[in-house]
Amino acid sequence: MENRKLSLDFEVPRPSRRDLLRQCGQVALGVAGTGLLAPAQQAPQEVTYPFKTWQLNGQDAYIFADPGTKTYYRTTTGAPQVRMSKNLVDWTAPITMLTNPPEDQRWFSTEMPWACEMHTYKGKYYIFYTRHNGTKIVAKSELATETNPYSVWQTENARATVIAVADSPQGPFTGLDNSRPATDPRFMTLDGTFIVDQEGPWLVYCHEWVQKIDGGIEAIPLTPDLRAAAGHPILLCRGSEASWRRRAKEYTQGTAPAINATQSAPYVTDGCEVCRTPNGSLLMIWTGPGGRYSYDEVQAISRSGRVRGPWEQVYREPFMYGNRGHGNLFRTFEGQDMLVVMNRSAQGGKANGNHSEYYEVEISDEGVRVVKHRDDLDGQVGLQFDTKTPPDLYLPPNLVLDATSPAGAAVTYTATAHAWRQGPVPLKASHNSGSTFVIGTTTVACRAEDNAGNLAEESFTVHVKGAGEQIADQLALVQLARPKSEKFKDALNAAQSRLEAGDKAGVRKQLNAFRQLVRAESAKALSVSLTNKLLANAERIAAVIGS
Amino acid sequence: MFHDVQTISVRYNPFLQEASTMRLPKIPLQDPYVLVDQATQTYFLYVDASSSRESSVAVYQSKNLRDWTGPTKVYTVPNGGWADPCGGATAPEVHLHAGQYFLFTTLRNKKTIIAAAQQAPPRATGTSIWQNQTARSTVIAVADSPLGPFVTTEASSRITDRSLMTLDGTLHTDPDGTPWMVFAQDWVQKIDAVIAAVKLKPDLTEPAAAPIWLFNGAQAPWYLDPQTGAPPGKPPANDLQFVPYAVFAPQVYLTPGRRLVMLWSGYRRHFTEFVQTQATSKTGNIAGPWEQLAPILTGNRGHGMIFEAFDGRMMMILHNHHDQPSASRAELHEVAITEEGVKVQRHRGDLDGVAG
Repeated sequence: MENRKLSLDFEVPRPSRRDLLRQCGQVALGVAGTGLLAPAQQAPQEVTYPFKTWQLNGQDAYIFADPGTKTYYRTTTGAPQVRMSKNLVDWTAPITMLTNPPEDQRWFSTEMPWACEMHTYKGKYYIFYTRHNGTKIVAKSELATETNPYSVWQTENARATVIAVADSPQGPFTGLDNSRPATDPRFMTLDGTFIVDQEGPWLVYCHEWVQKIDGGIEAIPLTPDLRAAAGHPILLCRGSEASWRRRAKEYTQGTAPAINATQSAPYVTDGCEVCRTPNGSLLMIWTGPGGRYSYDEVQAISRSGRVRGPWEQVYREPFMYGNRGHGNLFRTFEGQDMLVVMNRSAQGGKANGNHSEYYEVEISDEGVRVVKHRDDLDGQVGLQFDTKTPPDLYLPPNLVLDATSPAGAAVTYTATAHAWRQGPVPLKASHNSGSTFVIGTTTVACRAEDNAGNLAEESFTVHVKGAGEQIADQLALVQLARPKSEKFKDALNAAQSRLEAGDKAGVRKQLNAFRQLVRAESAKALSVSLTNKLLANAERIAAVIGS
Repeated sequence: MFHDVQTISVRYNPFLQEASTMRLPKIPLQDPYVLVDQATQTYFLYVDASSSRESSVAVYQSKNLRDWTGPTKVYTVPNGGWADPCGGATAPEVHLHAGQYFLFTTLRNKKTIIAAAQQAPPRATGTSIWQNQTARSTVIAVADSPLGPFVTTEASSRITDRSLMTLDGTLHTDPDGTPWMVFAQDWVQKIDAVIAAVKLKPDLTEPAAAPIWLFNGAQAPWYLDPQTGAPPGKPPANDLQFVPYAVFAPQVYLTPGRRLVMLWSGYRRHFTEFVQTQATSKTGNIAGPWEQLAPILTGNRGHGMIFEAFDGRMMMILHNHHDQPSASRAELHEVAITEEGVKVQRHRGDLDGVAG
């Protein structure tokens, strides 16, 4: 992601290593040669939790709820450290989870790691975090020209998710394979996460917009020990698929008109996380920033329950926005599904800046529904959802069509309504599709209401042409052939004047005469296609006249 | 078109025009468009007839879609306008509207730079200009006859704002007669190109409102497809930068059930295969929402349009060999316009002279 502001967890005033150990209640059992803490083999005595959530930097914060220890573990972007909490508010000082292996044993540099997250699998604990190497150039940028229009836009360097394992969530973690990432080393990827489906374990990751322009979310099957790829990567979706980009009302850039000269910004994908719905579907939340939502969270669902999808973007407003994103979902020890999300510009709460926010959520096959902000846990103001947006109505244009009988015409049309926060909602119309519209102009009033009571009302008109208008159209149609003879025109004009006189039999007689003239000239003065239309129209006009 | 302007050496020869007929394989072209004229029961096939000396549109005529005469020059890009008189006149099409004939064609001026290319600095946020953007717009010219001469006005050569690179404009008319120009905004300018529409004044000489967005090239239905969404020999998840999402040649038709179906063209397989694809607006509203459907014809064919032949059959004309412009010829296919989109019924090799 662009312009990561790397103010780091360890920049928070932190205690000395000795204090830290004391706080964690651990005897200083260094693991020989690693400089790392030993796993918490003994029950911590005097663990203290001196940090509140709002005192911590929220960059890409991830919370892992460990059922074994009934402890929440919090990891972030920055040095690989973990904090613990029993209540999501009060946190320990950071504990270093691992250190870099020697330079000749790793593909990555010491540059700041990103987006550390923790998972448990088959009795072990794993962290997934993003490492880089700015000196390993994958591709160099070059200026595009007309003859080389698909040039490399930006210089690409090594970046990928590294997986490390430990017996305890506190570490020490050991990289499974520091010599190369599980993904193709030419892939510039980030924010890898973990999910298991019937095929086995998967690494799901974001493919950098820096490399793709249209960033991707991809997945690669892992070997049972998570050490390496067990198959080819697959593409789940692209940044361009973020739901809001498909809504015409969002297609603007600031105050610019919808159609403007500005080159499209790259489509960023960030912070993918996958969970399972109660129905067994896979739900993926991801950050698809841009537009008026700034940094935001959107979602996609795989109703097959498989990572291979097919993935369907949930066509709704981002469920988090306003510079919020890169969240993750977890379940509290009380059984509440919870979203922790990064607010990159928190204001008005207990601390301004980049901080975590907590929301209670409901997870279903409809997607994530945000139920309640937990300011008691995060000390922030939280997202004030715009609940005033009325549903979008998608109506036909004003329709103009021909009557087919004296009663008018049966008119079918398609009109739908979609509540942007909620999904499809029923549309009520004053005249249903398929009903008979009388000759003349009818206004069809449409309305739809969302759960919050917002009402959208719009209308379109249906103009049903009577016999007189249809005779006039027929005249215009036959004139397209510029016939040398006036006989077509004369017959239709006669029909029109009989109609005005209320002489139905006279109209029919003239229409019959017209039909005979047309048939006689078919494939001569009149093309077959025009003849067919004129005859069908004449028959329809006769039906509109009635008996 | 992303190709440089194709130059077809065509000279107007009035004697030749009357004297001989030719079959479509003799007519190199891209972006074919057929106007069906009921008055003369003649098909008019418009092509870009630009040479290195001038840019023009010419027309071929046929009574049967098989044997053609021409070309007859119907429009020349004038000196003194914004467009380069030698810059080409691509994707010409002619519509009969309110008793007059309107030519839509796309002109260019590579000397007028809208934005100059800049190399992106490291970790740029994408505001750098990927490549030079130069003047390119669809103009509308009017005539009393399908044979022209077509003329533009100052306003009608500026339907879209001069800051926009637009192309392949076409006419769509609402059921109540409201005219729109539906057009593509170039991938050269947007990277993810756009199909847009601008409401026109009734005489088609100027816009009546700001353009609206219909959809983006990234919405094409094939990008996640393991077979067609990726570069040849690569899976959709690969290390290559996406090529731009190009869109060309919108053409809008009404289905019997009053939906709209839009033909448009783009590239699959990492810009290596041009295809004729389609989208639908189930409301029948040009504003959409637009839903993408499966491509109609593939294999470097595209930029097609549909017309009703004099025998009542619906025909689609499009060009082939898109990857090899000098080999591009017209193909004719019988089609049906259904509620589920356009279906090809059969290729008319007897008419277009193209094998297979």
